[in-house]
Amino acid sequence: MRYAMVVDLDRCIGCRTCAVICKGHHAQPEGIWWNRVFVPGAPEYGTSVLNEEGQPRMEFLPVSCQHCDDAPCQSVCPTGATYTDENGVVLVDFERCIGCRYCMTACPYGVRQFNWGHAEPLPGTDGATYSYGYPAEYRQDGRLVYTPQRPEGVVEKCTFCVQYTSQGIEPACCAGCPGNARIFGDLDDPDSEISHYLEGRETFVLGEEHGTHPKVLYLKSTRGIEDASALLDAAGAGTAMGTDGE
Amino acid sequence: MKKLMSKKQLGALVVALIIMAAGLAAWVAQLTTGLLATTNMGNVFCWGLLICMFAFCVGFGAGGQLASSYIVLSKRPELQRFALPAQAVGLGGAIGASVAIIADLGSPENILAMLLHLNVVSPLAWDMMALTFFIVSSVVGLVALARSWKSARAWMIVGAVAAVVLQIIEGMLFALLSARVWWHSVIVPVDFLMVAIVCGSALVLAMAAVSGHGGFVDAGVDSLRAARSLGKLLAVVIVVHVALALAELGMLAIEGTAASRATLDVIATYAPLYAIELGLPIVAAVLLLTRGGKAGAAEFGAASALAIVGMFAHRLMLLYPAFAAPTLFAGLSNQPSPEWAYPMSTGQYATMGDAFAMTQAYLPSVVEWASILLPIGCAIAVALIAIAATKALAK
Repeated sequence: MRYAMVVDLDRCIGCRTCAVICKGHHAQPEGIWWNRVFVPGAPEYGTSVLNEEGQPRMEFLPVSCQHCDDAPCQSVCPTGATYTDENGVVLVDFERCIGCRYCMTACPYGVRQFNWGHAEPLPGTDGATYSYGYPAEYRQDGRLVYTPQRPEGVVEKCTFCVQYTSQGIEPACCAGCPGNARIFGDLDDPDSEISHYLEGRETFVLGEEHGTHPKVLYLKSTRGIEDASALLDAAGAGTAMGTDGE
Repeated sequence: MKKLMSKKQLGALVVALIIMAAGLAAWVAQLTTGLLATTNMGNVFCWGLLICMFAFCVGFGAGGQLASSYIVLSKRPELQRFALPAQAVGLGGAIGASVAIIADLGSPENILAMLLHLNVVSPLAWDMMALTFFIVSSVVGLVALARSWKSARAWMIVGAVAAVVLQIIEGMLFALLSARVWWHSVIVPVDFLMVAIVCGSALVLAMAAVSGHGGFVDAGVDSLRAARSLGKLLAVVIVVHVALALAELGMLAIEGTAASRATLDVIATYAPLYAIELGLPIVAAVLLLTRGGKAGAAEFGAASALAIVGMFAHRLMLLYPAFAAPTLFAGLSNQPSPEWAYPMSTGQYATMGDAFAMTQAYLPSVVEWASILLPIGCAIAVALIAIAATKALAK
């Protein structure tokens, strides 16, 4: 089993539902975001940038933990709090994390978040405490990898929704994405949705120069390219993208 | 204690313990109120002043040991009385570094995991082992010198090896991280060693300059002679350190990547601090090389102070270009474009604060400045107690 996620940049509309639903499902304290979406280079959110020929372009790029095969955060962790499970998912054991933040310095993607303080409960509309997130702690082989009551002074990050995927439910960001831009599954299973989706398609990864071998794979956007329809036809994605005359 | 310490030493110990207590109070405030409320760190700038102090103390630790080993092994008569104090300061620096790194942990209550689940491929694990080995060898070396063991010279060799290993590993702790271009260089571990030698030489030079004035080191007629011989060494090592620092800067400029350009921008922003890091030691080296033969105690003391302040600035500049510069860059996926920095979550809980940012302007808080008093006070106290202990151990 080798879990991975594909992010199809042609399908991402920059709505940030993935970031918000992720925050909600994981009871992320204020200030902590496991998922983020920006237009690289844009001075403000949702504005365009200029390519090298001076033409305006806009491309949303969702970024979360890349669940690297060669995760630098894991190799530098002095206590083994960060580890890769049997499904290839990089997790953090809150009870082993000493809060040295060495993993945060080692991660080139800036996805690791530190619990800098004691998160105050959010007030609900009725004045009572607003309760959100997966309500129970989740342990994998006895190791605490999720709890809605976040310990102070530990590092956290995307878990590929381990509490859901262990029950056969897809990650929240995939379920919530209105454009179906995120596809999750087992790369080792040729019949999985992700394997089918990747057939004949060329992917790229972020920060390739770091040699981390991420398991979050990106499909290039075809927008703004003159022969976009030809590329789509070649990829067999014309129907999926609604470019067949609908 | 009265027999083992002069009144001034006893007074210094009391001051060191008061400093420690103040630092301890600041650390307790961090633990109970949270790092968010008491520090100015965030997800972008996630290592702060305590890490800077850790690196500074560990340089002093290794530097003190290297100076002590050099004095004993070189057999230079004018330097011999500085061997024990240098060894004691080396031990104090190492203990201070250990305290600093523990005080910086977010969850010190989980520290037992460092023993029960040690990840031996982590440079931080190597660092812990190297620091432990160094402290043990430093204590044994101190006893060997105090008791005039026949094997004292052998223990000084062991101590020097431990100091070199510690500094190389310390440098690798930073240099192995490809995410931070400012650190990811083979020069860094070598320069860590040079910085340690600068610290050790400056320390003994300062001792020679003030010997007889504080009762910390026995006064002798050869103080200025000792200062002159060490001054030359300090000047040469400063020149090597500056050359390595400039080589690192040059390599960064040649690299030409988006990350290296962003790092150079940060260095330009913090140019005054960088100027202090390089400028003050250069002034010290020039002073020592041009006035070395005629310089008096005041000039040697000034040269030591300039070098040490420069090394502290070096430790601060270890952090700023690494953390104030972005690490993730992305361009358009389907056509040629520049590589742009990509924002990250700040981790701040502030209602009106930025949730995401490319960079973070870090200025240590009052509590952070107070918290570094813990390792500083601890290092001074350990050094003073070690000096007193050697008197008790002396045959």
